[in-house]
Amino acid sequence: MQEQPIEIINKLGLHARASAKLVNTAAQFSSRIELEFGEQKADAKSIMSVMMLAASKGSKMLIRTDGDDEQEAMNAITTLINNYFDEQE
Amino acid sequence: MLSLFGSGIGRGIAIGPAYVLKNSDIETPQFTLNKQQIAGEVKRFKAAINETEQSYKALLKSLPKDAPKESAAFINAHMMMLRDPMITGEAIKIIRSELVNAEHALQTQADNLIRVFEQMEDTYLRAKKGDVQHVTNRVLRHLLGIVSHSLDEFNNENLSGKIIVAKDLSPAETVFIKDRKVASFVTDLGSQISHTAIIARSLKMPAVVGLHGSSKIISDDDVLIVDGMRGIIIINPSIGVLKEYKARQTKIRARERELNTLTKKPSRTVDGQRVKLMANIETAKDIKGLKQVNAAGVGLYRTEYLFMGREQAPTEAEQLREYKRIASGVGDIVAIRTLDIGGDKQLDFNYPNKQSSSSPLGLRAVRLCLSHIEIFKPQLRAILRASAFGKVSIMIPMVSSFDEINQVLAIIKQTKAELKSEGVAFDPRIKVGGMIEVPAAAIMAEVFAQKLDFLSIGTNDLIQYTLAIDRVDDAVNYLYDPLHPAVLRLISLVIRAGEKANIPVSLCGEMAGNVNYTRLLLGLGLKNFSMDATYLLDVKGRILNADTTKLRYLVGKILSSDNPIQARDRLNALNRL
Repeated sequence: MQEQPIEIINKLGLHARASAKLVNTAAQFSSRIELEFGEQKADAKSIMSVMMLAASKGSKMLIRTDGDDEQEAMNAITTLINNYFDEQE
Repeated sequence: MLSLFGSGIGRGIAIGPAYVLKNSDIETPQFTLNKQQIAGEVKRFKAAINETEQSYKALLKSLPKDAPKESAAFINAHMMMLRDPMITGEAIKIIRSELVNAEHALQTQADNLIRVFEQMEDTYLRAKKGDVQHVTNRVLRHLLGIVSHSLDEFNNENLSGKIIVAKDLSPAETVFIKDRKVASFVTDLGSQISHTAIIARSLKMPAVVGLHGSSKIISDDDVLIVDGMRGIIIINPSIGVLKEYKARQTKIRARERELNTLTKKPSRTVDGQRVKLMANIETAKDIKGLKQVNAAGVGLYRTEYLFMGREQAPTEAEQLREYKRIASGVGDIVAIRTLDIGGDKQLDFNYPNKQSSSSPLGLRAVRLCLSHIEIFKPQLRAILRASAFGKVSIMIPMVSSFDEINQVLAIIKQTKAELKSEGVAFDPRIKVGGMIEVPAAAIMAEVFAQKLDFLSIGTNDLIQYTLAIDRVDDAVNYLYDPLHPAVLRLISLVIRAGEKANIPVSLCGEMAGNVNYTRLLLGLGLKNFSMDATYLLDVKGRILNADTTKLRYLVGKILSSDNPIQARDRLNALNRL
C-alpha cells in the first residue's frame, strides 16, 4: 500500500471537470485508489464520490493506493494534481 | 386558423413549422411494486441508463467543430456521473430495498446527493447540484418517454427554418437561435424592449413576444405565420391567407434590395449636415453585417456576451484576443463598453452580492465593476492592450455620479501606468466616454462632459429610469414611452452639454434604429447614431431626405408637449413633412 499527502493547487479545486479527469486517470489502474480529506473518504473511481469531498483550492488530502500497480497509480494521480489538472490556472 | 396578438419585432414575415420548447418540468411518479416486479424494474432502469448514454454519445458526435471545448468536457463529465455507483448503483439499491419504481428511486437518490452539495461552503461546488439534477432529468425523460425540446447544447435536432414557441427565452437560449438557423420565435412573455426582442432585431428576425398562452395553444409542426410588423401570429393559416403573406414577404425582400443601393452614399442631410451612422455589435460575428451596410465603426460593443454562459470570467488574454480581432476586423472606431451586467443579463458564475444585480436599481454595470475590481481590471487591461491595434475607446455604462467617473478614470490611469512599466503597448490617448442612462447623469451631463471624451445616450435604460418602469416587467411596460416629454428633454439636455464641451454625443439605444424617431433626433441636434446594423440603411434613407433647418422648430414644439399623446401627434406631423 502506498500513501502520500498532497495539496490541491488549481483555482477551482475538485470541480466537475477536474474530478472527471481524476476519475479517468484512476480508472486506468486496477489498484484501489482512495482519497482522504478530513474525515471523509472517497473512491477515486467514482466521480460523485470525488466531487462530494468538496475539496477547494488549498485543500490538503491523503492519497492511498493499494494493489498490483499501486506505485504507477500514485505517480499518475499526483502528477495530474500537481499539473493543475492540465488547466490554465 | 387562429390569430394571436402580441408585440411585434422586425419588419419581416416568417412562415414555418412550430417547434414548441418543453423544458424541465418533469413530475416524478411514485408507486410501490411487489417482489416479482423488481427484476423487471431494475432491467427497465438499466435500459434507460443505456439509452441516456447513447444519447450523450450521439450528442458528442454532433458537436460542431467550433463548439467551445467546455461543451465536450461537460458531456463527458455527465456521462461519467450517469455510470457512477453513487447515482445509479444507489438508485438500484433503493428499488430493491424499498420496492419502489425506478423514477422515484432515482429522484430520491438525486435529492440525497443534492442535499450534500447544498451544504457545501464553496459556492462553485454548491452550484454543482445542477449537474446532478441535469443527469437525473435526462434519465427520467428516457424512463418516462418524454420528448424533450430544449434549446441547449444537448439538443441535436435540425432546427433550421423552424419557429420556436416558448414561454420565455433566456439570453443563453437566444444564442442557440442564432447558431441553429431558426426562422423566428414567439414567446408568451416579454415586450418590445426585453432583451430577447433586442436579439431578434439583431438577427434580422421577425418575432412576436408577449403572446400570453401561445405555448399552450400551439403544437409541434403547426404551420405559423409570424408578422413582426403587426405583432400577429397566425396558426395553421388558410391557403388564401398563406398566399397573401407569401406575396408580402416577397415585397419586403424587394424593399430591402432597394435599400441596399444606399450603402455607398455619404450619410448627409439635404442641408449638408454630416451624420455618423455606427453599428452596435455583440461578437466578432456581427462585423460582417456592419460591413455590408458600410457603418462608420462601432458605437457600442456589448462585451457581456464574452462573460455570459460560462463558469468563470474570461482571462485577460482571452479578452485581448477578442478585442483585437474586433478592432482590426472593424478597421474604424470601436467603442468597447465595459461589462454591463444586470437585469435579464446575468453571469453564470457567482460573486458577492450577485442577487442585487437583478434589480434595475441594484449593483449592476459600472457599480458592479467598481465593487468587483478583480473582474474589471483584466477587462480594462485587455481593452488598453487592444488599443495598440486599432481605434478603440472605453465606454463606461450607467455612470451616475462624478465620483464614480473619477474612480474609473483613476483605475484606468493606474492600469496604464502598470502596462507602461511592464513595457506593454497601448494607446496612451485612448478616449474614455460615459453612457448616459440614469436621469442624474443626463441632468449633470454638462459637468460629466468636462471629465469625459464623449457621451453616449443609452435610451433603453434612460427611459426605464426616467419613467420608473422596470422594462422586463410585463405589467408596467405599457408605460414605457420614448416620447414622454421628460425623456426628450433629457436627451436634448445631453446633446446641448456635448455641444458646449465640444465632445461627441451619440445615441445607441433602440430609438436610434427606429425610423420614426430619426427626424426627431436630427432636430434635437444629434449627429452620431449607433444601432443594430440591420436598421442602418432604413435610417440612412430618412437622413438623406431630411432638412435639419426645417426640423428644429417642429422638434421644439414636440419637446414642449404636455404629454406623450400630444408629442406623438406632433411627431407624426413632423414625419409627414
